[in-house]
Amino acid sequence: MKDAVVIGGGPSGLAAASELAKKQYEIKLLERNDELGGLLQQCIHEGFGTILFDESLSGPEFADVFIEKVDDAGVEVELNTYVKSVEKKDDHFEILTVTGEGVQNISARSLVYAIGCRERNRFEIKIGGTRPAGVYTAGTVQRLVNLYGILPGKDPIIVGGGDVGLIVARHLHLEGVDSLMMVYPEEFFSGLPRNAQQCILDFDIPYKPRTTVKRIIGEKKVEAVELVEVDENWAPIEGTEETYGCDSVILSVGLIPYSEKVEELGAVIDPRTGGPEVNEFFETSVDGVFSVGNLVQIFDYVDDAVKMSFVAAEGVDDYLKGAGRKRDEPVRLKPGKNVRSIVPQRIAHESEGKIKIFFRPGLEKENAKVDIRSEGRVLKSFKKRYIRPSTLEELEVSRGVIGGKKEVVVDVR
Amino acid sequence: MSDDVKEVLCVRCPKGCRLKLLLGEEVAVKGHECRLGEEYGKKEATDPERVVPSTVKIMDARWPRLPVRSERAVPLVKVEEVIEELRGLEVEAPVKKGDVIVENVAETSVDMIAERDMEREA
Repeated sequence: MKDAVVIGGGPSGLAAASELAKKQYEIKLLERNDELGGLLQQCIHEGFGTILFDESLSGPEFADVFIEKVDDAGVEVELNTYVKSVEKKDDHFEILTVTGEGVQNISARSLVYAIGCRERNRFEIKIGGTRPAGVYTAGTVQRLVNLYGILPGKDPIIVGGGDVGLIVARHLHLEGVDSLMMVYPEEFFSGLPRNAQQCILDFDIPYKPRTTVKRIIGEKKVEAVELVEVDENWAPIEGTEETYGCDSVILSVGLIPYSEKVEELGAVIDPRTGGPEVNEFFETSVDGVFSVGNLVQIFDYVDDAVKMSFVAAEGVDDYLKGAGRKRDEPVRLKPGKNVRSIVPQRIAHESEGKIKIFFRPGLEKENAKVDIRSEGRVLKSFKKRYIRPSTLEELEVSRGVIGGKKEVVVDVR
Repeated sequence: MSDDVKEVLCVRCPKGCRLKLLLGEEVAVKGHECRLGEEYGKKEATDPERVVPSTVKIMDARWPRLPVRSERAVPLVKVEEVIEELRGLEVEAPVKKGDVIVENVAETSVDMIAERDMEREA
């Protein structure tokens, strides 16, 4: 019987596993792929670690820090292992895995899901047209270019101005595509300014704001796309259609937590984040089942995700010790005015410590005021210099502020 | 357009002010809304630098490509030259993280280093 099984060997899973093993628990880490590090192994640009280490590392370098920690802490790692199903028993979980050697059963007292997210596809954003070869998601292209040295085409178009798209644009430009174009529906790039500047503007890569792809043209392979301008609500403006010749379409149109597995176990899913609802220690609504990283919400910085894995490890520790008093009724945290989503969704414990609250703003605003309120009364206010929907915001609150409340709302004004 | 005006995006906070840099003996920054923006603009006007990430071909390893980066930032104008120098380069596994793959790349006095270990595989 393991004390905890961590599912997923990306940065969040590695951090949770090493932290727990350091506390002398018997930990097993299961990874579907044939190496650890997750998405970071294909993120070869730098900029990771600036919050945690005050140093700018590349993805593989950042991953290596935590792979070493997992090694040193004595975590049992199983690669090429797929979790087929998990069953909740009275006081433990039964995990059925499939590996190259066959089917295997593992028992664990607690579970940490760290299985990340997936990319949205063309059908989710309703791009019409034919279904030729040459339509990729940005993460797939990043993998092809950086691990295999394969370019998706000679003149690709990138749809979406988020961070993955921006970073892939720079790789494609530098690795030698003939021409490149980026279109996105916002008024300006939605990724971090740093990426917009250093990936697109530095190299004069052409881009069209307020534009999207209406349909893909081509029988066997992509031959062109039909572009259309959109208004501020992203509704296509009739009569602005134009054909743009290209041999591949790369979609960078958002990430979705991969929450089907925890949902099967009975965890409540928050439709706003797309991930499981969690308490302040990242425990889902199923006792003993924790979830970390991009499975909970899409983090902007891996540093923040990893920091939250440390918090989750404390929660697992309490769970295994039977320590940590839970409230009879959790305090519900709800997104209020101009807030799209909030994590954690509930505060379940009665302990000292401060609580980190993440929220995604619903609007772009300078000198924004963030209020935490309950039953019409403002409990605490924060000032934020500049907020926008593409940047996740963080608040730190002492428990005293929200203790004893039933429901607490976060507003932005 | 005259080339003594350069437009850049400030990267010092999520707002991303669009700065106009008026180049000349004394650089003037416009469009910034705080001191950080002015500082950043001046640096970008006189001496923009970037860390360069790329990959090189690697033989007998788990993956066909080895990720590499410049150990420090190099002048922005040198970025494409750095990439050019990596083209066609081939290394052989095993490689250790931090190994120098190209010394003094594109005469920048900066080395290109391996971002990760890559063990030898048959």
